[in-house]
Amino acid sequence: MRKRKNIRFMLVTAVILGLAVDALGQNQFIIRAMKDEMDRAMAGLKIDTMKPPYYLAYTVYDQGGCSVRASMGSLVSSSEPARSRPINVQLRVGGKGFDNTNFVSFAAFGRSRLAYVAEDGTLYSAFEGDYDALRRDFWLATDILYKRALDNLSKKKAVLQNSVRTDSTADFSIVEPYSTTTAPLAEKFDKQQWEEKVRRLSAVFKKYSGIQKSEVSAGSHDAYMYFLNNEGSQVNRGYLRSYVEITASTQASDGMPLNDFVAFYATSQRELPGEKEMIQQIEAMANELTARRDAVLLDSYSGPVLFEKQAAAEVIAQGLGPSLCNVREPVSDNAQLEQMIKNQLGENTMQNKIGAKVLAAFISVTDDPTKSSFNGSALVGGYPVDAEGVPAREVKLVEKGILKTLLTSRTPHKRIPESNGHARGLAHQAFVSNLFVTSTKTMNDAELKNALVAMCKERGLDFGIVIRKMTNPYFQRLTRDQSDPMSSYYAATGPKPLVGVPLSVFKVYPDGREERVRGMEIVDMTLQSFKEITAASKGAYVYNHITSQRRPSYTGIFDPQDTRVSVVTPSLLFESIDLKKTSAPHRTAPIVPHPVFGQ
Amino acid sequence: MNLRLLLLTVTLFYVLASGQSGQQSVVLTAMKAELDHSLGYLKKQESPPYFLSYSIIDLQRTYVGATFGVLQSSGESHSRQLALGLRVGDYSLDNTHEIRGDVASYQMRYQYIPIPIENDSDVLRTVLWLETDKRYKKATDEYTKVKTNKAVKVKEEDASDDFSREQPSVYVEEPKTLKIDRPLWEAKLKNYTKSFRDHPNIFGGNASLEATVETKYFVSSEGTMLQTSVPYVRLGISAVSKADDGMELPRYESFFAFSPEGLPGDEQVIRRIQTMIDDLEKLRTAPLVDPYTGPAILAGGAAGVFFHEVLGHRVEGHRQKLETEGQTFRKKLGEKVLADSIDVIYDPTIDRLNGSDLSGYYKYDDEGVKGQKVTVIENGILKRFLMGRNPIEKFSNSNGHGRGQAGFQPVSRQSNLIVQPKNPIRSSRLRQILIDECLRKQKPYGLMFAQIEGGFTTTGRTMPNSFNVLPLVVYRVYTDGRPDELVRGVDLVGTPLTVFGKITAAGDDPETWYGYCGAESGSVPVSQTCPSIFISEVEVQKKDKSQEKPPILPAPFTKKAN
Repeated sequence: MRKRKNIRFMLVTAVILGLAVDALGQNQFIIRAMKDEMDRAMAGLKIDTMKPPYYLAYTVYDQGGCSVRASMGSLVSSSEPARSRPINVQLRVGGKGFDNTNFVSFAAFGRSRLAYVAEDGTLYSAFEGDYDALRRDFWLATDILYKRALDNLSKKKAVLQNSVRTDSTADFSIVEPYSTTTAPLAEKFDKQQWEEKVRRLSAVFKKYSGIQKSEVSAGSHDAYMYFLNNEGSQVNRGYLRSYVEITASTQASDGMPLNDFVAFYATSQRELPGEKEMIQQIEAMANELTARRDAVLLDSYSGPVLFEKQAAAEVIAQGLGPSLCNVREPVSDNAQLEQMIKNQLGENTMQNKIGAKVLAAFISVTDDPTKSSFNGSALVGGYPVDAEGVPAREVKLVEKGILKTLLTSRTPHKRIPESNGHARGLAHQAFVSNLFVTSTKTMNDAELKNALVAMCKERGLDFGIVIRKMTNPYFQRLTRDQSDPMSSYYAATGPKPLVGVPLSVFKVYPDGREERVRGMEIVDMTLQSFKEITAASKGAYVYNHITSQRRPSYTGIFDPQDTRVSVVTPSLLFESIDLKKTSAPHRTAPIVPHPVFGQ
Repeated sequence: MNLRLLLLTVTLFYVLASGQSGQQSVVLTAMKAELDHSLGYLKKQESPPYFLSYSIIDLQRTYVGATFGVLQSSGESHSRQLALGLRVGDYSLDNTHEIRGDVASYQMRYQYIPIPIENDSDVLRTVLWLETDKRYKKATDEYTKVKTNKAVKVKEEDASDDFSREQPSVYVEEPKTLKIDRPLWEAKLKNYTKSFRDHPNIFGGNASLEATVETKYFVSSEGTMLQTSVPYVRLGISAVSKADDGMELPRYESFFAFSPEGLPGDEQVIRRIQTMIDDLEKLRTAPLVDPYTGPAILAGGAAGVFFHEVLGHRVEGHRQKLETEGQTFRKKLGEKVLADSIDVIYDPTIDRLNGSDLSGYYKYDDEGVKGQKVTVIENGILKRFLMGRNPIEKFSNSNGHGRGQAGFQPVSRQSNLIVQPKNPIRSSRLRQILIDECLRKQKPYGLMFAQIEGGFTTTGRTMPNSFNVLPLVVYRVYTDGRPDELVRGVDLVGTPLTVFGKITAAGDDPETWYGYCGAESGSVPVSQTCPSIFISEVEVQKKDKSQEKPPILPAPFTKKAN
């Protein structure tokens, strides 16, 4: 079935060149360079009596792309199609039971000037590098990482020597070697065409006098990944990624900042929605944002909340998804650093709950990286093989409310010794791919709204709350005020709530009438709240987005495996959620009327 | 009525037309329009701004990078960044005043505001409008804090105004263009870096080319209106090796010119690269130097870096005023700080000297003030400081040295540094002076600093007011006629006033060096033209070195050099 689709896909899109496996042809030297240098390292890398590496994995990303940004019909920036070649080395010393990984130390930051190898093992190789150039970079990176690994292993041993170990889970799991090679994909980037497109899309905002700032950014990238490890796994495959992201911000008459976004993600640029549809969605967002300026304020609310469509997907993506992944708390020789990392990882109560009830009994959750579409809608979170060369597979995470397992990479969980093929990104951390939430108890949209109203009546509330759109950390960063980076940096370091800020919020009165509310924050949502889901909609919403974990451009690497996640979920009615009016200080509304629209 | 309006436009046009060579652009017109529009409303506020400026820096850049004979990067970029200057209060006291006790207040005033690269007046004005509103509100907050701080703290030592009054300038020139043959430069850089391949002990060998057209637009409420455009190209070569004891050994070369044709030819670049390789190969096995106190010569390039770090940062005007600064030279005004035969000049108005283009050249500084030649030290006597628009005791005006990187609030910074001896000594003679001084002091050898990587200096009060210069290539010059011996592991340290008193002679061999200088207003291009200098006594200490061993396995070479 999937195969057939691929063939059709290749035939229709003439731009995408499907090449036969052996047609890696002139790029065979990449694999040769990786293999030759890896063999040499495994045979000879050793200092004195210290152990040689027991595991070594090399990855090469051959990537290119272009990105363009525009505001109100004018280009803000435009980068030409540029190619780059980041390479990555993962190296382990010790044994699978206990090795150098999962350890952090301040000394690990910034050492050698011979080559710059990031903490995650990434180095930028010359994009046009030949066999010699690649071997040279792998040689230097492996050498630097081997020394780091020995250093970390001894420090980790020292720290654990004097402390009681509560967790004796192994550091690395065993997998069967796996090899696969798929044809490279190439897509032609027409910079000029993209420039014209973002000019047109961003010009939509020219007719919205109530919106102060807006931007459209778009781009298209291709990559081919070569992965090789010393256990005999070899994965060579290509990716295409394209996106259009639109952000807009303004202020209410009392100065309260308001923002919103729309985003489109696809593999090939051909798979993106047509311009007409994009414009429709941009207009809908702009209208909604404009209307929100005049929305009422609400001090606080405690009661049932209906999360509809995108809002339900964000709640699942931000609140539930990350906690369904295996997270190992690293060992550190520095108490401050350890605390900092623990704070970043946040609450992880799911880790010890396998076999326990974590969701309402009628809800099940599955993660399936092997799917590429749902009911005709494309999904962007999938992959055939994960970042550690482990084949992707479907994982039933929650069945009828009971937590069955967690998503794992080759870093085991004390009750899950094996990888289930969910290592993502350069850090090879376990993460969500395509997350499906299903419910055996469903209602249509009208019934769901009635159920909300009924629950409110029961609690003696005058109205209930429906949330239709939520932001996420990724877009919060995009819309953050950059004119004063230092203050926004400090603002970003406070405690992190489980889920982000709701954008589109409505009061629903018993007669069904709705009233728009602005400036609300969700204050008390915890994983416990998910047990109190009381109803779900019949229809499922497909939400493709960039994971809130980090931005792709953060490391400058277009990381084809990471960052993209799909969530498929029904709308969800939560029994009790607390909301309050935001207390963040803000500027007053502009003193000077708009130079073009006036006031 | 109509006639009056007509007359007004004619006069305005006339003013704009004087001293200019180009057309006022859409960008400049939009900036001026929004400045007038926003200011018109803000003037009616309770604490109105007394000054508003917009600056837009447009950077069109082509870049190429190569390493070991292959391309590392190649591309083009175009960006525009906006910076606002908005002041509430008055020239004597405003929102930019130092808030004593608040470390963050002066350190980093940075704003990142991208603005469209296309010339749609409405869109440009929308960005300017919104940012002006934000900045105004921030400025009024700051002004309240400044007034409180002033009331609760003791009287400041330097009671000068916060902002100088300057004559407005109007100057408009056409944006320049720069033609770069990218494939040609890709081939050149690949060729340059190819020679590193034959040397297994060279771990990094890179070349990079950056060709930029920097167009600056500036308007202010005082009537200044500027549009300047400068193309320039930079070629940088870097290589790194490592000694067996772990010491990392870097080498850099940089070239600067206002056009690609001004850069040195292939043959010259390749020769310089060969010297770098030779230096590094020799340095790897060179003996480590022990701590030493004695006479030394700093060759032109090294002396330039030395003057930049040790003297330059201490003659930046605003440092004489900030209460957190060490103010080494503040009370030395009119006193002798250097041998009386030496002048130290900063001159941003010249773009070429001794056949070299100068990277510290500009017509107007980043506060819109015309760049001026400033003789800081005349006959060894400290005469004046480098000034932006932040007045200090005895100096109430800018001398065109208010500089900053895009987005940073400008402060007084260096430009083209020229160290000019009145009676230069032949460089061979300088060497004899060194040997004589060693014999007199009964030292078996003196030091000769041929190359300096850079350095850092602390000018604050809480840390010792010292400098640390990082030499790359240092020789021992023996008194007994033995050949010079290359040594490594040296850091040149000391306190500025002492060491300047010991510079007693300078050579006839000026060399020009280029660099980017980093400080609180970001990174700005500077140049130093300096001859060799003789110092009767320097102090060197052991360099802090990497503890990491060289690579365990040899370089994976497929073919041997021949």
